[in-house]
Amino acid sequence: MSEQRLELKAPVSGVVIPLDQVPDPVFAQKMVGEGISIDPTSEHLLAPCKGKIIQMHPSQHAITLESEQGIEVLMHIGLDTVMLKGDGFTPLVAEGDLVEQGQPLIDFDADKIALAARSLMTEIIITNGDQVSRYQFTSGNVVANRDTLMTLELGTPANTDDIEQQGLTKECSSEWISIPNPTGIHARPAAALAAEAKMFQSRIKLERDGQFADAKSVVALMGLNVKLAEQVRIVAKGRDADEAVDALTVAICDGLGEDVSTAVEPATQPIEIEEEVSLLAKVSSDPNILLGIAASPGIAIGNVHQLEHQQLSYEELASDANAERNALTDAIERAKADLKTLQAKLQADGNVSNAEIFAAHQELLEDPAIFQQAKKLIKEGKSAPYSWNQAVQEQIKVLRAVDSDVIAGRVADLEDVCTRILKLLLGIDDEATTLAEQTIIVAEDLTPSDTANLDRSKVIGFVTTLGGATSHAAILARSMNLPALAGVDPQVLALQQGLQVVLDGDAGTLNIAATDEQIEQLRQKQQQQRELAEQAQQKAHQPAVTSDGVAIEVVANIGNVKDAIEACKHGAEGVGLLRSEFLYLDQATEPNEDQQAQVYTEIADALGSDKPLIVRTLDVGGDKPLPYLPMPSEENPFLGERGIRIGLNRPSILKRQVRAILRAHGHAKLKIMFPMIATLPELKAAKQLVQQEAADLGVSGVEVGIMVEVPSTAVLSEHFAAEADFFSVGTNDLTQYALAMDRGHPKLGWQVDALDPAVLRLIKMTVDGANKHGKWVGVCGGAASDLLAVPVLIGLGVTELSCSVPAIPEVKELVRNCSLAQCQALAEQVLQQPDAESVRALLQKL
Amino acid sequence: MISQLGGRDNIVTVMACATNRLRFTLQQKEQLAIQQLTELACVNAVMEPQSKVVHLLLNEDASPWASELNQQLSN
Repeated sequence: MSEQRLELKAPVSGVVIPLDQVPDPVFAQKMVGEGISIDPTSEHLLAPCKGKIIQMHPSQHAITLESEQGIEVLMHIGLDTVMLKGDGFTPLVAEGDLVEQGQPLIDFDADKIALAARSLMTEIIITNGDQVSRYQFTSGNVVANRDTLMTLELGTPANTDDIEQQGLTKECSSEWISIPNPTGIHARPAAALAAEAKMFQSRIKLERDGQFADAKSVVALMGLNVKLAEQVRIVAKGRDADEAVDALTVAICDGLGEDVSTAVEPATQPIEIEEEVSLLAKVSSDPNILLGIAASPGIAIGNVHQLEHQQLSYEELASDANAERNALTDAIERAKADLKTLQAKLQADGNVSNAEIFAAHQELLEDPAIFQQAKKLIKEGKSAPYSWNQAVQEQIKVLRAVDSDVIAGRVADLEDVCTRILKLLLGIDDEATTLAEQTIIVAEDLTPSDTANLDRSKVIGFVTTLGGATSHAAILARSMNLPALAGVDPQVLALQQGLQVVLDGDAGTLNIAATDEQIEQLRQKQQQQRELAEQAQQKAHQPAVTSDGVAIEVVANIGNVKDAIEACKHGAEGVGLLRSEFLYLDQATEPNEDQQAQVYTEIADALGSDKPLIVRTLDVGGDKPLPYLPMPSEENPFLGERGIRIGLNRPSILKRQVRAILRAHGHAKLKIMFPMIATLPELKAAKQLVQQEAADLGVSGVEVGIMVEVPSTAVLSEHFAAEADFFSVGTNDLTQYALAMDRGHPKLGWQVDALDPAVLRLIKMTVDGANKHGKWVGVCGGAASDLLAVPVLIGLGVTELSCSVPAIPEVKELVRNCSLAQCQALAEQVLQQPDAESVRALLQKL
Repeated sequence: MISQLGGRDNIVTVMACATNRLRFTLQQKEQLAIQQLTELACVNAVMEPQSKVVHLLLNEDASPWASELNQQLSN
């Protein structure tokens, strides 16, 4: 073997740089191995010799080739390029591939990488140097695959590893360690770890989740692909196993030469920014009226119940570690059982989304990382609650360092779980608080655990100082059909327990000193409303015709077969919006054409053949991706590939859906509606697809309409009306696109009002354009169910209102009490208003 | 160096990147004198990664060069 030589050709063209001049100590100090670097002038990494690909880094900036003689050649493009996460690199081979000398392995975009990374210098390193007795390097400029870069004389490896023969097989392992490196154990930390491991004689392995890697091998360590916050431990066997485990544990915790403090530090010590009062904040003129965000409509007269988040206090230290550990294990078991019961209860109540939250909480309780960390602290003499809290907070710290919305949600869940265990450990019983009748819950914010434990039969409203219309409390309130306010002045937290207050979820006010007279008036008004609602329900099946004889089609927004049946009971004259997403979401694979056709047929049959059924084609996007349709993360999902844009970019999906819808035609008056249409070519392309499939299936008479939710479509309505059979205005999206404000935004959401005159004018433009071609305009957004907005919409020329199912009877009754002439006069007036507030004020006066 | 890149009017932008690279965006590359550029003492090699982009691979940090060139070009 000593006679053998291996010649490596230059894998890229460029300037040869001796390894010790590379500005990165891991390479310069030869921690990874002996080798050389090239500052490249070409953009293809070629195989320097014949061999096999034994490792391709997931970030595609590094690859290891094993020559026929067993020499491992690591090629690492650029410095710190792991941060680019593959951007700029195109791998041309995969692990396990056999390659010839000169075969392209990775293409890279030199300009892009140069602009983003610290250096392009590409290292060519022999990682199993014990097989090489002599290296000979070239210098100057080289041309890829023409010039020889280095020549290796291969020597017999020295006799290492006779430890086992000596019978010294002491084995020990470390605790589980959470990896602090933001990009995990990539080349550089792997090299540092291997270098440290090589200082010991023991055989040392790094374990992650049952997988082991030789800690002395950089390639093996990289191959394990350990990521941030993953749990690893050191397993060592040999004479100095103890010392090795200790030293390597410290090295890993310290970040293996990487600065891990910056990644986590900003999150651990968030900059305390004092909350300022917005210049737009509404100031109450009456000190007895507190203002907030109207998070859920309705009026409630009830008594304050302050839901205080108790200060949980406990000792830091404990004397009996065993007792503490048992207490913690016990608390976790009890919490799991509690959560299971809660989950089952919510599931039985049909509250699936909250049930899922508690299922996720159970998983968090089983997280070994938190438990191991807590156990470690207990062993060090800390108390169970202290250890648990610390362990969870550490996990939160790590999660916060990762910038992701999903993770932000997980942090809230972790905090909730943390409190649950602490309460169990401290013997605080949530169930103990019994609520009086007619309770209005007041709190800073509500966690899912808070609300799940409430006796809902006693609660008639929610008031929180944090959050907005999309906070957990707001969503819960709407699902329970209770009024709620969010973002209320914090002085509400100082209100006395039991104080009588009036919560107006329509106006966004909380009256903390209502007179008996005011309360009596309100009670009468509530009574009237209830009577009206009952009347409306009784007349639900009568048509909605204005007093001057104009018929308005009142139809339903539905999401599945059950909704369709419910809609009919409430007097819906058909379906104005079938959200077809339910067919696709929560599915492992896309439903096939037959399955889809069957569901559309069932819904159509539930309505009847004379009723319209408007099916909106798949409306998902980067913000709510489908499991089987992974989408690259977008900077701005609301302006990204969503709605019809997905259907146009993946016509096979749209085609299957369109065919399925067409096949259900005849069971009801089926119409197809495209979401998110912004330009005419989009509509034409989608419509052409429908026409082709209709011809293929021999179906005719299926109308094709569009959602109007992008301002461009409203403005150019006239041109769209030439192509589309009908319009349906999605007021929610139209409003947020017109105002450029996210309706879910905690600080801006309250300004996103469909009664903004800008939105109303866009609706007017839509109707005017449609009328030129004799097409009709409906509204399927939230405004169609808003009793304040309905007369305005009718006055603007809208002839179809697609409402949420419970709102249908009242909307129909309201239509019967309107006259078109009055509505038109009202619309004229409203269009002249300068802002949403004036519009609301004007409408409330009537 | 400026003349070998086709004169100051030919240079759209200049910046330092990847530590030792001077990156130029040029109007056009016809007047580029690659041979002469490589003969400059500080230049190890020349790379043309894109149609209008040229990298000069220096044997030292490129940032002082970039700021000096930017100053000369703006005068």
